[in-house]
Amino acid sequence: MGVSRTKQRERRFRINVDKQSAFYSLLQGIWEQRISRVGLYLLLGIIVFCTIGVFYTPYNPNQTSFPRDLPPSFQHLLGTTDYGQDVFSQLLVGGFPVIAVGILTGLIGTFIAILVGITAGLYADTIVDRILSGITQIFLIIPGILIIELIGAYLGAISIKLGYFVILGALSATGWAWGARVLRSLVLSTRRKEYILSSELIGESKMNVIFQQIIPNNLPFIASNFFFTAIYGIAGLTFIYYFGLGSLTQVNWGTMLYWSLGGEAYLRGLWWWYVPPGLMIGLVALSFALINRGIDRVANPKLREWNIKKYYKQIKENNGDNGDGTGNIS
Amino acid sequence: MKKEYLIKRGIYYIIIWFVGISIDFILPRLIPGSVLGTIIYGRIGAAASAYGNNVQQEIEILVQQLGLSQYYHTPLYIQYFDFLKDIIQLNFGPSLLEFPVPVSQIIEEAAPWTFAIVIPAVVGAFFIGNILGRTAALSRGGIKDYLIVGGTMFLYTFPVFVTGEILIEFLAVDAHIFPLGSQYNTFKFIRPEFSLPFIWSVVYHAMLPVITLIAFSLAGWVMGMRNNMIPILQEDYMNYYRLMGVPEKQVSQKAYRLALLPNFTSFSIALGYSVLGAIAIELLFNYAGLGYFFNEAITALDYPLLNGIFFMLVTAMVLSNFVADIVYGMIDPRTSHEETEGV
Repeated sequence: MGVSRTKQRERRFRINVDKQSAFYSLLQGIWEQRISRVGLYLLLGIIVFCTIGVFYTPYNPNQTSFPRDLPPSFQHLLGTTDYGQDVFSQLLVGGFPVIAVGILTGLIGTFIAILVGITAGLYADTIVDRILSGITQIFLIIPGILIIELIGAYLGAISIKLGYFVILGALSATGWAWGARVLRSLVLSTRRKEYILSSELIGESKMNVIFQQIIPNNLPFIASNFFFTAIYGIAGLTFIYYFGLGSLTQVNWGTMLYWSLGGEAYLRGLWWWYVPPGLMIGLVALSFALINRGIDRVANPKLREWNIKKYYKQIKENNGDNGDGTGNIS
Repeated sequence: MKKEYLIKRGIYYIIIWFVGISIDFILPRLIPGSVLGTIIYGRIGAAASAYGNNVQQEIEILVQQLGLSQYYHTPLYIQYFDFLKDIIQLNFGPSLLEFPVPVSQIIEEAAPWTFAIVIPAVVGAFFIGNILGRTAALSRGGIKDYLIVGGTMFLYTFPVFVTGEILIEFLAVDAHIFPLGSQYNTFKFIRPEFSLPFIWSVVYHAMLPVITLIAFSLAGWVMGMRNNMIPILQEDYMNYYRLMGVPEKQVSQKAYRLALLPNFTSFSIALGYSVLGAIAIELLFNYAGLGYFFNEAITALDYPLLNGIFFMLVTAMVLSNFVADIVYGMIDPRTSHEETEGV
């Protein structure tokens, strides 16, 4: 029954999905793990919430005419700030830049990590590898956030505050090292496998080997690195705003935290001012971390939790289709 | 462990350390305009022009007074060598924030306070995290596993200073369980000396920051423990133990010990990262450690102090990584022989 319905659906839309491809099996693996499915739902919910904020807010988030320090009520779902702004409207508007910076940091950081890691791994023990590994080590050991804070502090003297693009550039420039290092050692071990050797022997070009053998085989790690770097991006953004180095006129979760800290909200019992943005940042990062756990379990089958009932059912159905009739598996 | 390996790693980390402190030298010189000039101009420019004095002359006098003339009139490479010489002598010049006091003195007073909260936090998180990770691994797939993994991960992804703010509001301001601010009770005229009331006061005031840091760093240990222990529990030799009739409790104890080994090696790296965590929360707790002064220095644009603290942090990170390498080499003899993987 279920099988025939999926077959019908495929026929109707004519989507050609290569079910053997590495990407498909990764997505399937993520979807099958309960922990990463929870993460996906969470992320989807937050993105919907932030997208609504781009188009609609109950009040103008920059308006400062409301009574100050109001606790949550029906007029102001999350109360008002010390400066007379509506917290809920700010929360709606402020999510989009944070998530965008996080995801873009993940993308760019992973891209640099792939570039550096694969180059270093393929040319291991040459001068190229030594230089790249040295740079990787430096970025690995000296914390990127510290360097960004130093840059921000020096720019502060000539009264320049960091904008979104500068923050994005700085975070992705410092966040790639861990991925590059692990990818290098992964490539190093993949490179010696026999199938790579044989495809080199039949004259495959290096690019083909990279894109068709090395990247698909290390896809779970690359995906996990993307989420890891995205978490770094969000945490870094929060830190930059916490130290007051970002431009503070924008409304986002980071500036909300900064102003609530400046208004000493935590000493005056104004929890509705700083808990919601903190919670949202935490939830975004949590959803990334949960998806990452799922990917870990795909990559390392010993950690994986198999849904035995489902597989049992599948095998039963397949046996039924084969005309076996018994549906028994021993 | 090979001696060669140790020397090789040592040279490696010294190079990284050099690069780290050189960033400190290069960054202000890459920024367009003179940072120092801007600050000095901002502070005295208005007053000087109001009295009709020559601003340039005033700046020159101030530069002489602050002992900063080497940054103004010498070529870059000589500046670099001077910079290195000063740093090795731990001479960062006077702090601009508390003017005549040298930076090294401020750091000397602040660093012990930072370590007073970082070391208990790392040790505490290590024990609690490993025990929680073990519980999660043993009840894998169960409700306990989900609660522990989800809970610690949530605490980790929550911005650490928001955790601190919540703890302060509910435990210190509302419930009066923990004290607010400062490193010891300054109201009761307790002198900083080796006496019981003073030590108790220090411990009592350090509790809340330590709890915050533990909450932040728990997830790493839990995940490390859980992910090490689950494969070990499925190994053949573990099944052999079970077949021999060893009680399940002892089997899990053996697996726990084996899984603890990799976590030990990350101990000193965790120490380095917890210093960073402490930097983020010290301002909240009004705890006058390195982080407190780091924050003050950023706000007040006190560059000598900023450089000094940056130097301390880079040194701490490099040292903690080096120690981790040594420990790793001692525990796992394979590392010191490998040629390609160790880089």
